[in-house]
Amino acid sequence: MVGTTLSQELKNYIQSMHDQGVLDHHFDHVKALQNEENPQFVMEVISMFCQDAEIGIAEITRFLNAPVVDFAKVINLVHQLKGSSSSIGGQRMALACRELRQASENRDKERCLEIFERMKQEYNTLRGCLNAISQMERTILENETRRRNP
Amino acid sequence: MAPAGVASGNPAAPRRANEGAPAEEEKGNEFPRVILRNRLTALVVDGSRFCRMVEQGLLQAYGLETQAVDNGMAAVELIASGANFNLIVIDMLLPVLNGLETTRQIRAMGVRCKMLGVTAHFYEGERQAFLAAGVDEFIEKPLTPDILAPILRELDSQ
Repeated sequence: MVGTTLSQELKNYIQSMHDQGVLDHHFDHVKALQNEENPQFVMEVISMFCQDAEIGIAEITRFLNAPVVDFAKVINLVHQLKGSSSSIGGQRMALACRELRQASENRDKERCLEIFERMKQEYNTLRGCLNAISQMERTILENETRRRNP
Repeated sequence: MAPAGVASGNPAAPRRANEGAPAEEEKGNEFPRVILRNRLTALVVDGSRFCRMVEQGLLQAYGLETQAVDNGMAAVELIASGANFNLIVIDMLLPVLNGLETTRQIRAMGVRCKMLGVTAHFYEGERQAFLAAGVDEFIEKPLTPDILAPILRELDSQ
C-alpha cells in the first residue's frame, strides 16, 4: 500500500514537472526503459546525467573565464550538454544550450556568459527535480524489496 | 503488486526474437511495439556515456544485442576486426575521429548496414554533410521509439 501511494506520488510529481515545463515527454521514454530486469535504470541515468553535466559545466566555466576563450571547445562541450539534457527531457536546459552554442559561434563572450548563467539555473532546477524523482524511485524499490523479502 | 492498468512501457514482449512467427505489432501504452523475428545487433557510437546508456537501453528494450564505443576510431577498429551489425547509431561529434570521417571509413570498408546519424544540434549544411558521408538517416537527439520502431521493422523484414 505504501509503495502504491509512493508510485502515485511519483507520477503526480512527474506530471507537475511536465506542467511547469521542467521535463518533457523524453523523460517518460527514459522511465519506460526501466523494468524488473533493470529496476534501477532511472536512478542510474539520473546519476550519470548529473555527473556528466557538472563536469561539462565546470569545463565550460574554465574555458569562458580564460583570457582568450577557446570557443571551439565551448561549442563541443555545450553540444554534449544539449544532447544529454534533451535525452533526459530537460527541455529548458536544452534550449539554453542551443542559445549558448549560437552565442559561442558568434564568439560573443558577454552573451555567452549571460546565457551560461541561465543555463546553470536551468540545470539546478532540473537537477533538483531529477534528484527528487531518484529519491522516490529508490524508496519505492526499497519498499518493494522489503515486501518480497519479509 | 502494481495497480491494474500500469504499463511498463516495455516495447518488446517477449524480449527474445520470436523466430518463425509472423511479425506482430501492437500499439503499446507508451512505445510503438515491435516484436522481432530475427536477431538484430546494433552499435552505438557516442562520446557521451549518458547518451550511450540511454540509446543502448532503448535498443535493448526492443530486443537488440548492442555494443557501444565512445569514439570514432574505436568504431572503425571494431568494424575492421570483423564485427557486424545490422544498425549503427553514430553521433556526429565524436572524440578522436569525428562522426563524418568515421562514417566514411566504415563505408569505405564495404559496410552496407543501416547507419543512423544523430546529433544534439545541427545546421542544414551539417546534415547534408553527414548524409553525404554515408549515413542513411539523420536525426536530432534524442533517439525516440517513434523513430526507431520503423527502422527496426525495416531491418527485421530484410
